[in-house]
Amino acid sequence: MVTLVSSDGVSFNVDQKVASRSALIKNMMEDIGEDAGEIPVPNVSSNVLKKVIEYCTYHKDDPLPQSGEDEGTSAADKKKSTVIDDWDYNFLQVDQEMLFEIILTANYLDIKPLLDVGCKTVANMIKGKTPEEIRRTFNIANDFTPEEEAQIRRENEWAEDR
Amino acid sequence: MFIKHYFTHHDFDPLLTATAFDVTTMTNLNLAHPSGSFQTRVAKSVERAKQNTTTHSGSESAEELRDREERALEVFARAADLEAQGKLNDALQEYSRSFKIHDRVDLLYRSRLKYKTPAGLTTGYADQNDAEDAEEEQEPDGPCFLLEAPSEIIIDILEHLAIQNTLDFVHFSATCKRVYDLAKTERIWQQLSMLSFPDQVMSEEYRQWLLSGGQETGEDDTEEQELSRQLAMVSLTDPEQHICDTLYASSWHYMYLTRPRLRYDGVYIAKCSYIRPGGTSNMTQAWNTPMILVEYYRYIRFFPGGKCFVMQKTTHPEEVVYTFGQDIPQTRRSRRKGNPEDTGAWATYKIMPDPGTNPNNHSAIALVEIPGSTIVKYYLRLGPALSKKAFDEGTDLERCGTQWRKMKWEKLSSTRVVEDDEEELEELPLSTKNEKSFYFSRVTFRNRDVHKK
Repeated sequence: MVTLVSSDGVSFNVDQKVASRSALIKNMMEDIGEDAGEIPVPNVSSNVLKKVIEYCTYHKDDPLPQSGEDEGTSAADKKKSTVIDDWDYNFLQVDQEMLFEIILTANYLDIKPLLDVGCKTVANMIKGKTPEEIRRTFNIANDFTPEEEAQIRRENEWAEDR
Repeated sequence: MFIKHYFTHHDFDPLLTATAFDVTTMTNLNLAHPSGSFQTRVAKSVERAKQNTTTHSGSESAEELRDREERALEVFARAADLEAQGKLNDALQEYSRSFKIHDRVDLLYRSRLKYKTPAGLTTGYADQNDAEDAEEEQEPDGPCFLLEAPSEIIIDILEHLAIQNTLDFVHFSATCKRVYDLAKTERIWQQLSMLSFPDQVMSEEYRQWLLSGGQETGEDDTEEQELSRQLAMVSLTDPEQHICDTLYASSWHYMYLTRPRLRYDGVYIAKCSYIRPGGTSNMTQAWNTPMILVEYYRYIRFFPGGKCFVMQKTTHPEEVVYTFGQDIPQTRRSRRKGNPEDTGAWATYKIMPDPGTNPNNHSAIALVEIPGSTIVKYYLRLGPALSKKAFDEGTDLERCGTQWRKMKWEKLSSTRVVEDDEEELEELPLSTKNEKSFYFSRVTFRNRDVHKK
């Protein structure tokens, strides 16, 4: 058992197997030894940490991604793995703030599959939309001048469906 | 999609229709009053209107002028309205009244139309402006969680999009400056390149040409050069990286957008049309020769692995392209004798070097060979590409788009297969005078995708 402490001081007791989903915590435990005791997780609030632990608990028996493979995953593999499985899909049906908090935490704690599925979820929210629709979906302020926009449209001509 | 193209030019523009209408009514009126001289009357009235305006402009103040413009516009708008209802005669009267008030009313109306919609008139672009205004009003004031994320996460998202659908990728990149800049990350373009170039079917000459950095394999090559080249090739573990470094200034972005390649996710279509004189029949006493407009489409769908499906038909793309999926019967043959292209035929293809092309922005030739009792060969040119300098300056980037989906005719030939003596193949060039370039259209095929086997 290890204890993870969120930024707002809430402690979570989790199984080592669950905690080692995070490559960061796994390495930390290996460095400090089995009796790690309390591990502070600064800049992650309790509600987000709770969600992330929920994910790690569900996936605790998945094979761990090989370290060092991160750069080696070929584009073809990624193309195949565009499907998000049902549990993950439902797990990520949260508001945008939470979704990005989860992605940030996955990035910080180095939980590759969670980061991956989070980015895919965002990608799915972008799919099939026009730039203006994407801006509205994510509250992105358009900082292009009309001339720049026209230029970008010409640049992107190659990808248009015609 | 391809079809969109046809409709874009038909946006409703009342002014265009107005002029068209003027001409027709004039002729109509001429018919109705054979003796009358409507045109001279119009000319006179215009003359009079001009005199009026000259007298006006001499004396009137700016305020009076504005007032007169408003009145003219009002009448003009009413006329346009009447025209839209089909009351052409009334419309004509109102039009001429408005011109009498102000001789430049049409120009005024046109410029005014861009800013507001006159009563009773809706126009394409006025609506669009409204929509844009509405959008601007709801400018985001809430936080943007997406842009708060570190760059590496945005790049990850871009990468996912790029791999799945390049259109979504460019749409996302066009949302704001930060994402636009991140979309230039080489890693993304490397992934895209690795997804498409290793799949390309190249002739051995072309592969060597690429790997040797664009050097022609000429006869004056010394054996030494030849040897060193071969050695270099053997030692290459990553040919794409090598090509990118030598021919594309180590920029995957530049390479992906400009290196000649064939696309597998759609169909190349050439719409060909020409006019030829038709034969006159002896039965009719024709004093004019009928002209015949010949119109047909050529289709090529390329598949990874060197096979492609070629068809030449009069059927509109919308009706056929969706059937060009992977499961076209491999042995589809014409029952009738004749040209196998007419009913669709399987052919082979490969990318060949284009002799004498500049390595810096080189072009290549796609060679399509249709087997049969006579072998038909299409030589189609891909490129030449934009130079790296022009690419970096971003001055002529539209050409990337064109080059990306265009194949120009270089040569068309047919070769008779002589049964006895296989070496004596005579390649006869055919005319490509009436042929038009091929353009690529992405198509979602009705059957499974090529990539999911």
